[in-house]
Amino acid sequence: MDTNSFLQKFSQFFDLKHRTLSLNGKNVDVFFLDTMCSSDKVTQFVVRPLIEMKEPLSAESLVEKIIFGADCKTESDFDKVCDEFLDGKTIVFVEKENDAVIVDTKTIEYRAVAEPPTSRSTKGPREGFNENIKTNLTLLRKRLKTENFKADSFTVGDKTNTMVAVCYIKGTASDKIVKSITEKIKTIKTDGVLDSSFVAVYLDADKTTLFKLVGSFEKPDVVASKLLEGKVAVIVDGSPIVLTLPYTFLEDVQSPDDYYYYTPYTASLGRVLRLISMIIAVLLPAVYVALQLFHYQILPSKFLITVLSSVQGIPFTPLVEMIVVIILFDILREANARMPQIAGLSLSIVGAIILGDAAVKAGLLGAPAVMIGAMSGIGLYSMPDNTMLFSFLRLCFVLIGGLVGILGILLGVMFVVSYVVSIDDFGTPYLSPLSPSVKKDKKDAILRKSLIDLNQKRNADLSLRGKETKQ
Amino acid sequence: MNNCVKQTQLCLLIVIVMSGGKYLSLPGILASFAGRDSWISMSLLFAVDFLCFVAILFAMKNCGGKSFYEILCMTVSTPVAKVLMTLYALFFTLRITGGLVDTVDLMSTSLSVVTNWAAFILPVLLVIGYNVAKGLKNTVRVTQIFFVFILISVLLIILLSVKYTDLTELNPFLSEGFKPALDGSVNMSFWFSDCLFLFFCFGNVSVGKRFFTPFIVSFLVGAVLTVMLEITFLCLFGELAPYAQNALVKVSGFNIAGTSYGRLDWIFVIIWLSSIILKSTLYFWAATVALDKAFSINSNKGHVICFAAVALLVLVAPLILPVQQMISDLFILGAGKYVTMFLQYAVPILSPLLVFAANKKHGGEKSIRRVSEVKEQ
Repeated sequence: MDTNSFLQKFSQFFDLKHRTLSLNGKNVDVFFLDTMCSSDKVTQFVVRPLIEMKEPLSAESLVEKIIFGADCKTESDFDKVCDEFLDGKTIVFVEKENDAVIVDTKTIEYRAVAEPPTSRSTKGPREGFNENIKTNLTLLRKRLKTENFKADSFTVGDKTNTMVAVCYIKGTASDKIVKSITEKIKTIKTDGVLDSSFVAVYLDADKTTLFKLVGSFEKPDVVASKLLEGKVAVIVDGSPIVLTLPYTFLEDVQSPDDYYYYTPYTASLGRVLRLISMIIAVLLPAVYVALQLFHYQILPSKFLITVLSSVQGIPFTPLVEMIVVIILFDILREANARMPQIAGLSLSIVGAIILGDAAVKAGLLGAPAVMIGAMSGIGLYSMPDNTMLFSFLRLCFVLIGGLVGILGILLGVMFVVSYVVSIDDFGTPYLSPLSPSVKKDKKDAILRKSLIDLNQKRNADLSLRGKETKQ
Repeated sequence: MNNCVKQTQLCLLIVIVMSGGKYLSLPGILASFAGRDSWISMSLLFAVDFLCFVAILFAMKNCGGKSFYEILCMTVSTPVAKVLMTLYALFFTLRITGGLVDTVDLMSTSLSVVTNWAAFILPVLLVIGYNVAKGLKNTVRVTQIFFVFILISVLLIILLSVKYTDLTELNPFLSEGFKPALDGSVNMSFWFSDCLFLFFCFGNVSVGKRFFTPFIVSFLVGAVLTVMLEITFLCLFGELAPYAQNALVKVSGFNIAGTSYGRLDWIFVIIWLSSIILKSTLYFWAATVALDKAFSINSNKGHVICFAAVALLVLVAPLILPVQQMISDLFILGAGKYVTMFLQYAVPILSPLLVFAANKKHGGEKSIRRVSEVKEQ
């Protein structure tokens, strides 16, 4: 292999390190990137053994007898050698040899394994994934000590060459789903994959992208439990979020604490509350607007009087008033999400108390509308993964409620439900096990049974999975 | 269109279809024929419906995977089969139109909404169209989600009004003999036979270990719910029952009697309205399939045209015709009821014989999918 071509290709790299050794009458060139490799490792595992070598010199003998690196191989394809070099490997060229020797001396600094900030649990494991695919695989492997735990790796992204691993438990996961996912990953054509969300777009079966059909989790215990249920996990190098497929709506309602902390009864109550919160978050502002505009008789008379007295002098119609409240809330939420943590509390106080109170006192907004908006806003966070979706649906329903009334809301709900029940993710209906009803899976749907019952359910979970039901 | 469904899903649909739409103007009109005995008229109609229902089930069980249209073609000739399919399509279209026109009445008289027909029907057609395009599978899945809410709403409306009922309003039974009750049954038969859509499910239902029991239970639940509301209605309004339109809203009014909670009962009514949309969706699907068969359409484009034809009829008919009056004149008081009775009762009763004849003609060969072979959902 031509050392000069290689040198020419990477000569502009400021962190390129190159050492030429003259051994047994042949030149040996060692290349590595200082920012990706450990100099100590290169010295100890590559350079020193080469200098101390007494064997006849060839690429194969280097791999077989000389170099200490645990991961060491020869490669004749120049492009592949370049890819490996960019991935942090050390490349050794031996004069007049066709093959180059690739030695893994990569040391890249990663964030430590820590509790993920977005999915904390009161009790239970606190480990979270980080940006290193190997660490993430380790976190899964140490929980799934079975030979059936498989991880197939692929490289995605023309310029980023990002490693993607498809993990599953053979015999538990559907072969058809695994094959389908790997085929989809293989067909990804993109310049760069910087996060798992880039891959999720290609795996998402919902082409409207309104509903999320790919699970995303930061905790290895949660992903391990999904794998035990027969799902498939996709780990992307550089991302602390691991994807799981197939994904159903009810997974959003479930929380790790349901299993670690709560009893079946309290866990079930928690899930019911989350669902009610979701319904309140999406529909309450719309129903309020519809009642105020079209069906005020439904409101209890005392409450109606309160509403009427509080909206007197408000310059907006109920519809516009509610839209203003909702948009204000969404702006506050966006600002809060991007603001430094230390300023977040101040913003909450300014937004929730000062702004809300001032708007009511100034006669711009009515107190009931602010209260309804706030209640709905809190409800949005009961299922944090879908906050933006619910916020979008809330706005749509407010418009429908304000223009068509309660029948419009009913039709809107029916349309959304009709759409949602029609979505299938790799053969698994999105609303299963509610619709279609899957009796075995209902043990851990909205109402949760005891862990003993759930263990009996393992393997039977997602009984539609793999049945290739497009019914 | 994916039309393969499970038996349990179909059972839920039967309950919804039987009760949906029967709480609008039907109890009042029935009371005008049979007075306080109108619940007997209703029970009679359900009894006849039950016989037809069992006959349809029997035919469905033994159809050997053949569609009802195929059975008709094999037994009564293709032209007759096509005529029957066209008649069924018209029958379902009329039922949809009548039900939706009554719903607009309910909306405009009770929920204080001045409802323009086109403004009402277009969004309804959007929901229905989406479900019809996705097939029966989608409709039954939506029904699974709404079923509990609808059932709870109806039960609450009935139970919260029970304390204001006076059962003596039902006495004396059959004071004017059996004729008024029988007249009520004969004249109002058009609004019954809700399970005719099962004809279009032949070969598409996966069944469990028991075939008849779940279906029969669901039929009985639907019938009991409907008769319960009729009795509650009669016991609340007594002699005034014939003048009380939109029965459900009238009954629900008693839910909040003596309170200052506002018309919270309307929330139940609104939830119950979803059963009418589901029923209309199902009938739309059945009408579209019937038209597909009548005109031998197999392409997607053809399905869309069939749906558009039914939708256009439903959209335009109430704008240019007095649909309620027409249904009353033709199918309640007129001779049209005998045509619909043929479709509603004669064909279902004969259906097991048709299936046996078709199977015999087919040489007992079960080359087409058996009911039980349809994949479970």
